[in-house]
Amino acid sequence: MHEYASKIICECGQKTIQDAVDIFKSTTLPYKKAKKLVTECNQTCCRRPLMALFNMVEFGEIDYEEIAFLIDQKNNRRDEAEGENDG
Amino acid sequence: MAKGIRDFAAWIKSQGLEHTLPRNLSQLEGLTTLDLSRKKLKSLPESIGALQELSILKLSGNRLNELPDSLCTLKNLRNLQCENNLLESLPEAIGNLSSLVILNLNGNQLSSLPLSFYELRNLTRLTLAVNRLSRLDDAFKNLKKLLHVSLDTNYFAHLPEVFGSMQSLYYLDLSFNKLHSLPQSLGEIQELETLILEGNLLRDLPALEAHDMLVKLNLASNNLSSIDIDFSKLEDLQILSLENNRLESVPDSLCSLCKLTSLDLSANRLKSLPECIGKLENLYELDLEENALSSLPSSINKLKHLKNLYIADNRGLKRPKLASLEYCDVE
Repeated sequence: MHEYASKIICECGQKTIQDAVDIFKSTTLPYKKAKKLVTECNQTCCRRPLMALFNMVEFGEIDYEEIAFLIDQKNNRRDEAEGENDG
Repeated sequence: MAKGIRDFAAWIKSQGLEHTLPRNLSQLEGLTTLDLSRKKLKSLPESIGALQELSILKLSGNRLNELPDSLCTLKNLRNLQCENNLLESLPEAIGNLSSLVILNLNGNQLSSLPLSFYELRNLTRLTLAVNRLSRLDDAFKNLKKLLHVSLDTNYFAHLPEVFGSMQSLYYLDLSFNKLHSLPQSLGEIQELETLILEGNLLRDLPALEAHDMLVKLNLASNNLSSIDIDFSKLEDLQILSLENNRLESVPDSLCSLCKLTSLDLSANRLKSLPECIGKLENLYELDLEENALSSLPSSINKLKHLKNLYIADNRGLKRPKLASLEYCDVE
């Protein structure tokens, strides 16, 4: 398994990158419905890495490192926003 | 061969990227396209400015914190792709790229734009999504040739009145910002076909009726409790997204959208739909998931082109008997 496969991609649904890959591979639903199988909610916080991953699964080649980078960027934005709200 | 070219060739070699350049380095001076996407680069050398014939430069998917100042001397550069990097700022002289037509800076960490940025008057496609921008200068109106603009996923709470001069703009994505209202000048864009406003905090919707060219309108996730739009003016609308709001009803004028192919009303508080919904004769996909509907209007049987229907998580809705239906999430 790839070193980044166990990284959490969605905190709402507590799914790893690999969980999301498996979910996307097992469904024929369009992205807007398939994402809810991962997130189990209507939040949009993880949409960027998740949408990129969905497209990679569709395309048949998954760049785990790139997805991990997008997750880190998403988490950095969230931490910044939380810092501002706390301040 | 000029020293700058030799320096750049040496840098390329030091990065193990010889395959990205012509074998014959004498051709380097005339290079028009350079693709350095996804090479894990953390910096670029100033010698890149020696590639004076470059027209297309692809730098996406690296780990660049900044761009070299010399990049701004590339007078022939028309297309700069620098998505998914770590740029915190742009070179002060970026406005010198007078030939630039396409600029993609999605997915960086830009919190401001240098003043010269607004001198990029030949831009037709600008994507600045997923940055940390909270302010656009009034000089944005200089960019009159823009056709496609994406400013989504930034921190804009307010936008200046700059859109009146952009008469050719057909695609505008302002989704996932902090907008409570929209500039009036948005209503002056004659050619607008796609307007994406998802994930904002809009209280007053703009005068969308003026956009009679609109093909796609997305107002999802705005916490809207009512929708005060005379849809009858939007006669070209094909895709309408209103999901994840607090709508308890939608106006009957929705039924006048005879070109509509996709309607998403999921995750609202709808208890009923307009009886006239059967007039949407070109509807291909209807999403009503997660509402409070206990029945569907009988006219739904007139939707002869409906292929995808989502009605789960309502109050006991059953799959209607429609010959055209290929997928329904409820049996």
